Amino acid sequence: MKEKLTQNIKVGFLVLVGTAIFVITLYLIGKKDNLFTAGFRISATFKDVKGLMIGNNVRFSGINIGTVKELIIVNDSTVKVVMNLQETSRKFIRKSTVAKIGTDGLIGNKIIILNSMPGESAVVKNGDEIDSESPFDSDASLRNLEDISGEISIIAKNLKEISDKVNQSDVVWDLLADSTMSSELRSTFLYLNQIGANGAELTGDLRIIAKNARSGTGNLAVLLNDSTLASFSKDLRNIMTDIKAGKGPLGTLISDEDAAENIQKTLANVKMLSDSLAYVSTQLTSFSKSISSGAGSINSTVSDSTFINNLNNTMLHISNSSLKLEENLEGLKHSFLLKRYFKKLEKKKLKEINK
Amino acid sequence: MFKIELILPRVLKSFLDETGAIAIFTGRFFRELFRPRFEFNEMLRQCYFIGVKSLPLVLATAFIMGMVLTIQSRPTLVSFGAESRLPQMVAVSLIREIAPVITALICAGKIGSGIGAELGSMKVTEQIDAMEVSGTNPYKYLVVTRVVATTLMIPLLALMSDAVGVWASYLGANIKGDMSWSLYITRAFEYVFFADIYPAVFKTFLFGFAIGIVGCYKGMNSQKGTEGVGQSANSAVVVASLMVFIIDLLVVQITDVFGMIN
Repeated sequence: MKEKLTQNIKVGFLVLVGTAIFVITLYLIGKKDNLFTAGFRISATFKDVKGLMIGNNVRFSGINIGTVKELIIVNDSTVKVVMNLQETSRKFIRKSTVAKIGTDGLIGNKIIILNSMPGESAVVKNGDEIDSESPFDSDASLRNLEDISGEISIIAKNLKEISDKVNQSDVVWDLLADSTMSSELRSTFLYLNQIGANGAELTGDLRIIAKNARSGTGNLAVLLNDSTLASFSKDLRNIMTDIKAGKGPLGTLISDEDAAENIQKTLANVKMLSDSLAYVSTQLTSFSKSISSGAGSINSTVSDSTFINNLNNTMLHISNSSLKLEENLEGLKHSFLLKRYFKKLEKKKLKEINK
Repeated sequence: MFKIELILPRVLKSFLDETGAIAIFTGRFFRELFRPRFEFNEMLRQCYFIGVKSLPLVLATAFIMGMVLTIQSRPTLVSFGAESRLPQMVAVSLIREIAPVITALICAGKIGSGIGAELGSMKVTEQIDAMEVSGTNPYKYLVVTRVVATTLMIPLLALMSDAVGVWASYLGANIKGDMSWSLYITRAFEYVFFADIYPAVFKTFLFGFAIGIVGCYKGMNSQKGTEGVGQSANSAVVVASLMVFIIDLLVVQITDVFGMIN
């Protein structure tokens, strides 16, 4: 009897554990399918659902918040997807939210991705329909990828040719090996940075100036608001009109064909004069060069310091001699031989003055 | 008078004879099942022997299957960069197919042969005849209790096998990888749906019923003395195992027809 009881307890335990496992399994599946949580339904229409099936997940910000509940073919180009979402996620799902069909990983199941859009919008209500976005067309992408790969192949070929040419050229390698170039480049970039900074500063200043000018403060504003400047501008415009019309001396000068011809002749003469001057200047330059570099007497005269010293001494002696000669002549004036002659000269001068 | 048995080949005639006999035996089982009085205590005793006594063997097999399946599948999934899909793949495989079928095959071997041998020896030693003489209905006492016990116990064993298999798979995944239990369970049940559970559980009832019926039929029709007992046990295992696969195939086809396989 006791043994029988033990057997029954063991059987009961087995039944309980087995049933518990079954219930837990059902709970886990039901929980995943939001069967035990309060939910609400929204829908979106697509042209093509790309193999989406009932039970596929609905994701918002990367979190599974529901499942696809129903797929209804509305017409030949519209499929309505009804989604069952968790009530807790309702406050985040706005009416502007856009549904898109994606794939869970590269080879995974299809999923619906809900993307919230910027801007204010009301929270969705049960049964609302939200906007949808066309699903990613992998076939079209693969076709594009094929085109791109063809273009990449051409680019790679061109790059290879460039690389071969670069490898064959010593100039490029010399440039690359040149250490000074890198430092120069660095300093250039530094200057460019400084220029940029200055530019930014300048822009700031200009903004301030513009602001001041707009608000009526500062010299520029005064200048802009000055009525005399406006009248000056008006006068200038009148002058320009007169010139265009050929009025006044400047207008005549510009519009008169004879004057233009004369000016042209004058300019030609000026050009000839300028050419002559240039020629003379060239000659003078060559002459000066020949003096400075030649072996002639002028060069030796100019460049020989001994000669210059001698010349200086000679000039000094001449100066001294002339002083002494002057003294001697003064003495001769007072000598009895020439005294009479000088008196005659003085008298003659006085007569001329009196006349 | 036209006699069909004269034109059929001997093998086919034997097969049809056996099939017909099993069908009649099954029909009698259902008649006896709904006829009072029900041998509840005997049924519980059989549940103990079929369920509790088979539990260690079934769980050990499930543990090994879960771990081996994980260790074998992991390199392939790693080469595809889909290692994270390991829990889903193992869980779906175990729950849909491996755990129910392996459990049924283990039970077909252990329980089917046991029932066949037990009833066969009772038959050849004329204990069954003695029961009839004493006023006890042997079909009710011996067959109905055993078939009901196998029908009820094998689904429970298969569910336990599922649980142990998934746990072993978690251990197997963590031999080389690193995944928490909660993440593993979440991932494992990501692609398990009600459409996977219901057919899997339903077919274990059919497996249990088939194992019980075949074991009892072979035992109740045992002949040729002790030699016949061995033959009954042996053919009970063979036919029950075959029946498990046939039922599995049929259930999969029916499930597919109802669109429950996605």
